[in-house]
This record gives sequence, C-alpha cells and structure tokens, in this order.
Amino acid sequence: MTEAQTFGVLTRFRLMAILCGVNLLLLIFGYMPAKHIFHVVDTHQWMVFIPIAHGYLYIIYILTALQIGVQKKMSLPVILALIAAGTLPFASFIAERRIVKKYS
Amino acid sequence: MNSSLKKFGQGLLVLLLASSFIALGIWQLQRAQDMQKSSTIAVDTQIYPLTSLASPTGSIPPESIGKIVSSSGHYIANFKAPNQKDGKGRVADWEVALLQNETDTAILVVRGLWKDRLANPDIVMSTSVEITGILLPHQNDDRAENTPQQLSRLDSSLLTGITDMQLYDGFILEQNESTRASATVRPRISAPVLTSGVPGFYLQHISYVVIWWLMALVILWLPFYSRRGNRIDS
Repeated sequence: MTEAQTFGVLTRFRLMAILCGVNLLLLIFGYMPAKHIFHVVDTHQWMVFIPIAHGYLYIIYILTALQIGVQKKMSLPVILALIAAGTLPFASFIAERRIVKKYS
Repeated sequence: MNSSLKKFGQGLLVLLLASSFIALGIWQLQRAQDMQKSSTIAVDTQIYPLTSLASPTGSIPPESIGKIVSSSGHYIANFKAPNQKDGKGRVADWEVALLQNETDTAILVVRGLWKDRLANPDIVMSTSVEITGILLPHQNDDRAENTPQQLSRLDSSLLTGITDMQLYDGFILEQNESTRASATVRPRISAPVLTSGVPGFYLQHISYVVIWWLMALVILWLPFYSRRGNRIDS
C-alpha cells in the first residue's frame, strides 16, 4: 500500500465522517425540532432533503469505514464501532479525529 | 469439539443477524412501496352514504379513501385546526366540526377556512345539516398544540376523552353543506395530497433498504475477515 493510497483512503473517510456528522446534527437538532416541535416542515419543503441525504451519506460512510478498517487491519470491534459512529451525534467527529491522529 | 461448537454458534449468530438485517431491508422496501401506492388513487365521482364505506368501529378501508360520501346530523362541537395544507399547497387554519350522525356516531368534518367560520351564523347545534365531501384518513403528524378548542391534527382519537359517541376514523373534507332552509355558501378547501401514513419519504426508505442489506453483507463477510500480515491497529 503506497502512501498516496493511504492518504486517499484516509481523506475519503475523513470527508464522509465530517459530512455524515454534520448531516446527523442537522437532522437531530434542525429537522426533528422543525417537524415535531415547530411544525414548519410543511412550509419549508427544502428540509425534507436532510433525512433523505442522511440515508445516502451514511451508506458511503459505511463503505469508507470498511475500506480504512480493512486497509489498516483494524480489529472487528473497532470496525463495527467506526460504522456505528455514523449514527450517533458527534461520534463520527471523534472517530475522525482519532483515526487522523493515529494514521496521518 | 469445543472449537466446532464455538464455530457453529458463531455461524448461527451471523446467520441470525444477517437474516434480521435482510428482513429489516424488506420491511423498509414495503414501506417505500406503500408510500408510492398512496399517490395513485382512481377518480370516482359517485356519492356513497358514509355508512356504506366506513364504520365507526374500525379504520377506514384503503379502498374507501378519497371517495365522495354523504352524511347528515348535527354539529356538536367546533375546533380550529391550525397549519393545515390544502391540495394547492396553501397553509391555513381550518374550521373543523364534529358531526353527530343520526345514530350515536360522529365524524370530523372540515367545513372550510377558520377565517370564514362566521359566514353562516344560521347553523347552530340544533340545525340539521346534510353534507357531502371527500372521505380522508386521519392525520399522523401534529401541526400545532392540542387544546380543548384546537386540534393538533385531524384525528378523532384526540376526542375520545370528550365524547362517549363512537367516532369514525378519519374525516370528511366538506364539498357541500345544506340545511332544511338552504345550501351553505362558503369557499371550500381543495383535497390535500394523500400520503400513506408512513412517516418519511420514498427515497429515504430506499436508502434504509440499501443500508440494512449492506449491513447484512458486512455481517456475512465478517467471519472471513482476518487481519493477515502486520497488524497496525490494536
């Protein structure tokens, strides 16, 4: 595995961890209150893209987490924890920081 | 022996998890299909008596949704339903009444816009009315706070505490209303776009299908994953 390939895998994971994390925060602290507390989603239709985008970003996040997990020969619990980090607020940011610290 | 037993257990666990994820994917696929089906309802202009299409003891049959129904009785309560969206996408507060039928049953009726509620002061609780309108299923999402004068959503289950009558599920979106004396003239609301009652969006459910099946694949791949070569991570 060349250094360039490692850099590419790491960059892809970092990008997806950040995008997925930001989208999850928008979903939990933006879309959910807008829908269930303020009831404004009907009048702000653009907001429906937040939950839809979350589903697709998470798919790509899983693939990048698997790629870096396999390439760095991580243990199974670590790979599963990386995958789960995409579903918890702030967890993907923490995962991204730890991975960068360890492998860059 | 112990090793074989352990491998058998692991294999069983992997199969159990993978089949659960596949089942969850199928469930999400079903929800996505339900959402698509709800947008294709045939046009039917015949007027049916309410009692022939629905009963107060159960939910409205899917084939009755969107049909034009007639009913008669007395309005026994009036509510404001805020932030409702009509078929043209306009959001407004609606006037919703509880119509007691000739028997001890009642159904919610959307009479029109809340701001037009004083247009027909001649209709009081003792006035017998005959109505026709579109039969629609109850709403699932709250649009506002629920109070004694206000309905958070068009759903008769919100009223079970204030009346002993048997309540129809769903509501009628009124098109015509008449008393013995005359027909009521007021702007009517165009039928809102029907949704399946399944929360979320079609593309969102499809993405969940992909996620669950991807997780099933990951689970099936895990037993074959080994950290050959130099281990970097601990």
